[in-house]
Amino acid sequence: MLVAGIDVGSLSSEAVILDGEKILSYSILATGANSRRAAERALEEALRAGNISREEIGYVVATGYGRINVPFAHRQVTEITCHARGAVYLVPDTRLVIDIGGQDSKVIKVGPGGVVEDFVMNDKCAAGTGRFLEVMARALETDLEGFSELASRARRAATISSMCTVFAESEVVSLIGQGAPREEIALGLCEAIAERVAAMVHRLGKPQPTVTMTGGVAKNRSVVQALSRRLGVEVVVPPEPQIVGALGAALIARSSLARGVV
Amino acid sequence: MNFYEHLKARVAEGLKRHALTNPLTYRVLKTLARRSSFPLRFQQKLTLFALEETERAFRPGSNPVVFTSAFFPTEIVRALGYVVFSPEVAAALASSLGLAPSCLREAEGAWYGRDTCSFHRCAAGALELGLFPKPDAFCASTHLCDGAPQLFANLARRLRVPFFLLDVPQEESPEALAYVGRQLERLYRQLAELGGRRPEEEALAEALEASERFRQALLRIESCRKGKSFPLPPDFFLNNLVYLTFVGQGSGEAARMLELLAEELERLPSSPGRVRLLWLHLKPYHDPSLMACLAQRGATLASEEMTHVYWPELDPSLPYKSLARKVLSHFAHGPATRRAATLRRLLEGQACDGVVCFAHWGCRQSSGAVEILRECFSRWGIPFLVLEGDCVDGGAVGKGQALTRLEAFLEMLGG
Repeated sequence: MLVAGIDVGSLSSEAVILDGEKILSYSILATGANSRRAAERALEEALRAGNISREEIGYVVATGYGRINVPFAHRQVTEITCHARGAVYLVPDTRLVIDIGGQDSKVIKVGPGGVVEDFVMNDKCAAGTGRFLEVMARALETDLEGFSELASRARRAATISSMCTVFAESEVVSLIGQGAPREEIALGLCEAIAERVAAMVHRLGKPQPTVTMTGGVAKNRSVVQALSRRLGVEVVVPPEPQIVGALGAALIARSSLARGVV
Repeated sequence: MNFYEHLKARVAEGLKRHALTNPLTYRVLKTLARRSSFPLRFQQKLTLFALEETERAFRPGSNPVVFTSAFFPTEIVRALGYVVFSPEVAAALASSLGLAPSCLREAEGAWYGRDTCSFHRCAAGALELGLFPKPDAFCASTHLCDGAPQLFANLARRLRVPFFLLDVPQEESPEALAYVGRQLERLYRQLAELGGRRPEEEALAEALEASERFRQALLRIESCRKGKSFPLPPDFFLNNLVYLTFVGQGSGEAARMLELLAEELERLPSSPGRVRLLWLHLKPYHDPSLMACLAQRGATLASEEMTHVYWPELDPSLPYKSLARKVLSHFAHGPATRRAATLRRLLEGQACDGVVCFAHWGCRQSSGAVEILRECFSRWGIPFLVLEGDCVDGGAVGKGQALTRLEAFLEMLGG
């Protein structure tokens, strides 16, 4: 019997369908205003991509901030537990997971088998998250992909002193007004995010390899490089970092089904 | 609908300010409380006690109303028969009844900075709005909380009423004991003068006897809770015992209530419980979702740092020395390592699986020690969660994030 994991995040929703340990299909789409509908659409999209019928799915685990609003899920598990499970599945030597999602950042220390040993999350402010990058990309008149591309072309980084989304946006506008190249501003923002996340990592002690990064922001190479440099260890990014939470949820669904947990 | 939900619903419907400050309201509520059913008789008694105290505070021409800070030894106020009113407890109640936002706005308009403790901002706002009784004096101690003495001094200045400060040295020494004892003796005389009373030594001895009974009953309750979980809300003890600890010490009625609770617990069926937590500091009073999450997952607060007995036996024949020792022996006074050692003892004594430190925004005393506590618990191999939040100001926190952290911690503990 197949299982599914659904990750309903603040910006995007993902679904992963597993057959045993094999990923049959997955989907990534924007959450939008209705998280319940997003969960349904994510599953439908993954089913369609894998040419799978709904009846073949025996167990569903929901995660992410919208996890409580997935009526067809058998169980809800936090994204912290799911990212740990998913990251270790994809990168078995993982000892630390950095997940920068739409509205929060998490650093998770994991033991063998993806067991969570400790974790920290960013405080109440959403500075340095996907939402932050989205606002900054808009200020630079580009999208998230374009933002990443801009940053990768920069030779040096502009100094961004504020991590408050509102103040940083104003700072970016001011830098543009002063004639600073957009590439340098983009790289400056990536460095600022890395600095903030590195401070969270250090709360859990000196990072031990392997450090795996998950979540949408992991697709931004400049943030990953800046983090690797600041942490002094290579930060590994799985092929599709955005589905790691949903994958972890699917793996937990598989274990639950095997144990007969309803 | 239980009594508390009934009250909350009336407030949400717009129970007017004059009704909240009218003693008649509390008389009516007492009648309602007598007719309502409570899971334990203790809860009914406690509700009636709280309503009676509030009615007394608002009754014109009643005994002097003394505003006391959280850790001030209320025995010397109780001995004089005065009304003890804790603005911090009242702020928590205002928050749980949905009244805090207007109080906080009022305080902000009166120049109270948003980075200061919301218990104090809410209390200041409530006083400005006329939601609290009129104080006849303020009493604050300097140990643990540096916000309360400053707030009280300011409010006393504005309201032109006396402010009494109990200065508590950082170190526990014979000199410190004598110094605090002398201040308490002077304070007792000054408070007596305030109401035109004589500072009777006999009345003070009686208050200490009641306080010692209170302490013995708390110890009995601690013993009942060892390794057990009761069919009660996870925060039952945090809610009820903190209130009594802050305002009831020195009251014979409060001691009797705790004795009743101990008796009821001894008869109550119990189970080992799934996940047992040691809870630090207080909780968000504006948001029940964290406690609902614990209840849903079968987790409970097996112990709380705020409700445990940390002080030695009180000797009614040596009231000032006993109270000075009590104040100086506070587990969180002095270095944070002292607090950590006490917490470890609590954790082991109550067989807890992990520690949740609710780091209340604005509380320098509690949140400031987080790094040291975390380091100690990490060294001892005990899971430790820092849950940043705000006890009173619901607008200052991300509810979903706090819930995710707590749930993830429970998942980590296997709950």
